[in-house]
Amino acid sequence: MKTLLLIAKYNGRYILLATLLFFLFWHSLSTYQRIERVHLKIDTLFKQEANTVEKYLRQGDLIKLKRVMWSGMLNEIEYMTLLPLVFKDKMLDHVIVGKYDIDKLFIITKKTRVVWNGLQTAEVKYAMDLLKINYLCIKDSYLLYTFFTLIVLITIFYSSTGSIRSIQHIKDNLDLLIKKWNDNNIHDLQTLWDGIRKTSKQNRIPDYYLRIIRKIMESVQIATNLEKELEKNKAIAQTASQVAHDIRSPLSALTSMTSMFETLPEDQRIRIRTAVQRINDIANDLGRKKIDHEAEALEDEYSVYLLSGLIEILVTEKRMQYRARHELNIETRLGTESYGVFAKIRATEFKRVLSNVINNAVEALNEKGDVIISMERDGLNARIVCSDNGKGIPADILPKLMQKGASFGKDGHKESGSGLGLYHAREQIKGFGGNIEISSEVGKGTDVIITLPTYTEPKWFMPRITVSKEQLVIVLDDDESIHQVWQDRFLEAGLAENSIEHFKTPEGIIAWFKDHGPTIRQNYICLCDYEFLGIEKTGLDVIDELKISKNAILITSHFEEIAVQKKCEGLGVKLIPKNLAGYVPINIQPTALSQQSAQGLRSATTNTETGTILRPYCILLDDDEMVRLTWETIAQQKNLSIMTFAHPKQFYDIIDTIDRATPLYVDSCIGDAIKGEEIAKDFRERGFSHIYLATGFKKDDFGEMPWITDVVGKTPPYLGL
Amino acid sequence: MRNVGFNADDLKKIISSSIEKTQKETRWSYTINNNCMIVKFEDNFINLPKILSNYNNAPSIKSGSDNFEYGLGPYYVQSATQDEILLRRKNKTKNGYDAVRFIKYKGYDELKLYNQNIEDFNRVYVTSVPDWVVKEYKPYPVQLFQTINLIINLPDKTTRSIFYNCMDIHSVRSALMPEQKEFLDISNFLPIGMPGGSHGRASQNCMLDNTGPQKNHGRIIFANYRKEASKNLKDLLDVFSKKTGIEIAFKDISESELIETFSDVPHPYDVYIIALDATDSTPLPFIEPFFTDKRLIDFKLTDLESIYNNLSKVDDFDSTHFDEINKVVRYLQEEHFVLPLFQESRMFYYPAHVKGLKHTTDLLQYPEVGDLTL
Repeated sequence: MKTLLLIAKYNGRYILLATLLFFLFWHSLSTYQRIERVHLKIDTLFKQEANTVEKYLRQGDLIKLKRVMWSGMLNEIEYMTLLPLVFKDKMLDHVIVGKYDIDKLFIITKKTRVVWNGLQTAEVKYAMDLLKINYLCIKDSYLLYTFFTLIVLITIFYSSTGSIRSIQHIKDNLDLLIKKWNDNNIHDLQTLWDGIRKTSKQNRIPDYYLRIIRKIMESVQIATNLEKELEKNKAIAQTASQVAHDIRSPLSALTSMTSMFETLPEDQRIRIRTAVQRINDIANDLGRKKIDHEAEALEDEYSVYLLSGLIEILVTEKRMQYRARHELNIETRLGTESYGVFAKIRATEFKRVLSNVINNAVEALNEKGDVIISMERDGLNARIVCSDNGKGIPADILPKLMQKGASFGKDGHKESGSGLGLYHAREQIKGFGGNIEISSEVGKGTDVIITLPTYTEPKWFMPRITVSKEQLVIVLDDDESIHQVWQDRFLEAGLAENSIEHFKTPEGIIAWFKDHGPTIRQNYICLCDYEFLGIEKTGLDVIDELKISKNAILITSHFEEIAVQKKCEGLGVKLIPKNLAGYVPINIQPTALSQQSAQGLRSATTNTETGTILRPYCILLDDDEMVRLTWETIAQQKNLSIMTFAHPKQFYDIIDTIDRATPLYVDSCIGDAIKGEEIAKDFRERGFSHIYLATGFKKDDFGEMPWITDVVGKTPPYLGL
Repeated sequence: MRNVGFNADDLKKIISSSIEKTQKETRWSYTINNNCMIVKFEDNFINLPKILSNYNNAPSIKSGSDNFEYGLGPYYVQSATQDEILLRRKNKTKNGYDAVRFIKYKGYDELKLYNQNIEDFNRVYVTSVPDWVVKEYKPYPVQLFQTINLIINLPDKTTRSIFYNCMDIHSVRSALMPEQKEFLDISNFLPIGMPGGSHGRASQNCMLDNTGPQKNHGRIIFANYRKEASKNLKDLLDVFSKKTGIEIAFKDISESELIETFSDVPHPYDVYIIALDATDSTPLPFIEPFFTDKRLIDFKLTDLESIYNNLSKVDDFDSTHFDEINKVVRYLQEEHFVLPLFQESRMFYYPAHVKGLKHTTDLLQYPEVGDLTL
């Protein structure tokens, strides 16, 4: 039974096809034989009845002639026609019996002669329906058909039994071997092979199968080796990633502290800076071993990228590339100005361009010198400058450098190109909506300036930390050094030491929140690490568990991972790249800000419980985030306290706590079709005496507005202080 | 009435009951042997076939062919009135006509033909078949065992000869059937397909002299029952009269009136066109009307009487009997009593939804209603 089932499983359709072919062949033969038998009968009939036919033709007896024809009307015949060839004057042109109207699609006709005494007296034609004949064949012989079909089926089944049993033997043996293999009883290929050969001899398995098994075993062995290799690589990559992560935190601390070494002698400062860079490069290189395939695929697509992140990675690569040149210094100078600068570009192309630019700078240095890559925000653009202190480019060459095929200073180099690098770089940067310029002075060096239009930061990104002096800053990180970074930064920004709480484990902060959660209410911000050493729970899990997403900011080196970004967006948590912890702008407000403000919306509220009246340097109402950010950044640099609002509603929420003498700067178009000049009327009625229209339009474009003190531009009024 | 188990005893009861009810004085006797009943009537009991046909197991006679039987075949008479006969199938079929209704029809112009939900128009003259039937039905060409002949019932052989030889066959049949373009020519009044019948036309030799026909015969009357052909025939006879000098009176009568005159001697009409056909597979019916009491002609064919009498007793005709028939036919034509005009050949029409039309097996040259499948 098992064998039968196997035959049905493996050979079923072929056996059915073979049976069908046999059936069709046999049926066709039967049909043909039946037709021939009919013809033989008709032929015999009219040979026997030839004298009768001749007699009735001679007499002209149609009725009797028809009777003769009817006697030959077999079941297979549809109609029969007799054409008299003698005595035509006594008979109709043709005599017909049988069906009158028939479908002629499957009709075949045959004919026979009626000969009497050597004279053909008539011709008989008869028609048969092939479908009917087929039906009659099956109907009359279905028992025979069934019997022979069964015989054929049984024969084929029986003939398949031997081969199926052989295959089953092989399968059983293979199953046994695989089981043994899985049970780790056999590790050695040769032992396994010997076992199979022994089994094959016992079961008389043909050599052909053995060769196949041998091939399969070799393939399996290779696959197993590859799998092991892959596992090993994966473990290495994970370890490397973990090491990179662990290094980054103390590295951030070290980087932020380098600014404090200004009192050290220059050679010591350089050595410390070089050592920090080297550690940074190792961390970046290790981090890159954990491949994020998704991110890699995205690099070829247009997407929004944090430029400082791309620059850091590329510079690391370059330093690794030129590490043999000990007197070459390639470094980045990315200050707070570079923080949060995003651009919509294709990362691969951008890095290629910057790589070419750095290569050119290195080539210009010969053996010794500095290549500095810096970035700053220039209005709505990002300005990336690659400076070298090499030989410089003559003034007459400069205008030609961007032309196709032009090159300079590569004569002695093997790697000298065709000069297409800068031409292509410019074309590529133009494609991103930016530009490349070169300024150079012979003997002093060259600056290559790449300008790119900045792009609104992604939803997950935290552009700056704004906190009031009365708020508590809670830091959760398993690395001591990162605590030090935040401590130093907040103290430097003017926050009191007792306003910062530090936690190293998720359990610690959870326990603390149980005790203090109700008392601190929403008056805090929480800077939370993502990954904790030896703990499965992530920072996002902690935020979610404590329900503090409105007050939390995630600080992580995994900021480029799409999964992390999406989870942050889902929870409404903002994110700061850990390596930029030293650069994120921190703004300390004189009084408490709402949590929305902490999240970057910059809408101020007063502490109504204390009844404090706020008197910032000025207040800006503008829906353009870039303008607000510019005002805030410059105000911070000038150590001024200002308040900015994106929507009048946010301002109305705190308007009663604002000193009426505070200057108000209102944009003309604030969004939602709100006209600044109109809403300013209400501000004047509420007692504000210094109201300025901060707009890009000219003063003449507006009519008489007695409630407006003046129409000014969007430049912060304190820029010149 | 039972549908099954009918036997000779049942038949005996039916016959005795029928006699009791309708014709008590009828003398009859019977014998039953092995479920076979042999009945002998000493008196004429003409009502018996009518009575028997009213039963759903009405008897019919098997023919030589399995597919054909004489009588009502698969039907019995359910009801019969002057105007309508209704036949009902003995055993119902799923795909055939279970009832056949015959409606009395008087002539080609009767409106009844068009508004009685009639399906079968094959019993009316070809010229009366409605146009929509011709257009929508399946046509079926039929060559009937029926010949159309001009009967010349005149005592004067010379006058008969003029009629026989000088009456243009083509003109007569065109006048009679103006819409029919093609006619099947016959050389004698036996149809083709029946022994003795043959293709061709009757041999004519029109020789007119000044003596003209016998004047003492009086005016010759032509009787016509085809009203629609009346004018054409009149015109034709006028031409014929002018050509031959024979004075011919034209008389329109009904078909039944004409048939009734056959028992009168002498017949009131001298020349007429009549169809001869066979209700049997032998040619006897074609010569029979010249010998029976109701004869087509006034004259007794004394020399041929014995031949007819002998033939009328034969069940199975052989070539000798066919020769005898031909002898009679030849005589009637040589004596110019019958001028064969044509063999009836017409188109039958069957509804388009009828399936499996068959060429019939015996005397009938067309499918009967009972054989049709839907």
